[in-house]
Amino acid sequence: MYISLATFIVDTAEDSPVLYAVAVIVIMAVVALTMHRILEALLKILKL
Amino acid sequence: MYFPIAGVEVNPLALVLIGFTAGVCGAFFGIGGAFMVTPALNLFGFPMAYAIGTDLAHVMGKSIVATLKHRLLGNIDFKLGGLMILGTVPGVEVGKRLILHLERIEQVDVVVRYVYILLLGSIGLFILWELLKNSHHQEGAHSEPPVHSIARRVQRITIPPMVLLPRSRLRLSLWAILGIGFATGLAAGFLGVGGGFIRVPALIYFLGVPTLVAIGTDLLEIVVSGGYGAFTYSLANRVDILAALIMLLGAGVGAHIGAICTVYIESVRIRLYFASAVLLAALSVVLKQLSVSLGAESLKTSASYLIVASALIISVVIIVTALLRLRKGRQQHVSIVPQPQEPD
Repeated sequence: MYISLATFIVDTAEDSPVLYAVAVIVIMAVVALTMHRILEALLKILKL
Repeated sequence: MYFPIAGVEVNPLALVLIGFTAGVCGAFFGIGGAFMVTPALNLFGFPMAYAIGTDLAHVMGKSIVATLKHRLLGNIDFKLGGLMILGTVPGVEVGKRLILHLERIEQVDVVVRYVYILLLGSIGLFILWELLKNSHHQEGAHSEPPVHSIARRVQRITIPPMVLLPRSRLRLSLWAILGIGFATGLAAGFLGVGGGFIRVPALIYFLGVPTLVAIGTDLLEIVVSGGYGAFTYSLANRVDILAALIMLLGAGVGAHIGAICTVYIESVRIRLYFASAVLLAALSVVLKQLSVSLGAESLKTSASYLIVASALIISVVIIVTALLRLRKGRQQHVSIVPQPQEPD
């Protein structure tokens, strides 16, 4: 599964650089926002 | 684990660890931390262009986490950050053109390295000197050292339009803000770095912005500059998104912890750690220059190890200091944590 995902990413990066660049920004931003929410929720649970 | 885009095999735990370290230092000092992460990725086997691109992508994600946390803590001056960006962008462009000119006359590497050493060395020594000069200043948990004389002079500039910055508790001429933004952008563009280690001291010592607000506001700028850098490197297919995501897992947690640590550690100590980090980075560039001058490749590798080890040690010191302050605060039954302010 990892290999097919990696192959898909490599192909996208080579065939459509703009799509890849937009995807990099969007994915990093979404993961960062999600992490922030999870960490804030954890802090509340731990009462820190 | 194999990363097919960069074409390297790296232990993912090492990526999480370096991301965590960069996250703690980045959110604590208000920097992107490229000068720590890029050599580390290069040591792991990433070709330099992939190391820079992947680092930029992770810096953007990490800075979003750090900025959101600093926003909750009331450490971001959005108006100042936005105006600084207006000055920074043309500065970066002029710096880039200077680099292209030096490239044409084949002097780029040596000039950039010497400017880097000079700038990092001066910033580090200046902060240390200032801290020594003000060592008599009674430091409470959150008291700010006195505003520097340069900042007082800049604050006296009254060329209209004047800008009121409630979060920084300042009233400054727009031209002073744009000028500082331009100068720091020029330095960043010339050196090819994000410029957090230049902008944070510039905000503190040239504009008189409180330390924590300088850190938070600079991180806001790094989200923009890191995002732009990640986009351009992705277009050139020089970002390994899988590696960047794994790094972000560590960096996000580290950034959260680093931002929280600013609550517990006094401003003077933040400046002291910042100066130490900057001086160690300068030392690593000195080693790199020596490796070129003496033709000793081992010195170049030592420089990369030095910067990675320094970042790890500084992160541990930051976390341990914050935990000790937290414990002390709890023993005294007095909360040393300021109430979070309403974000702008």
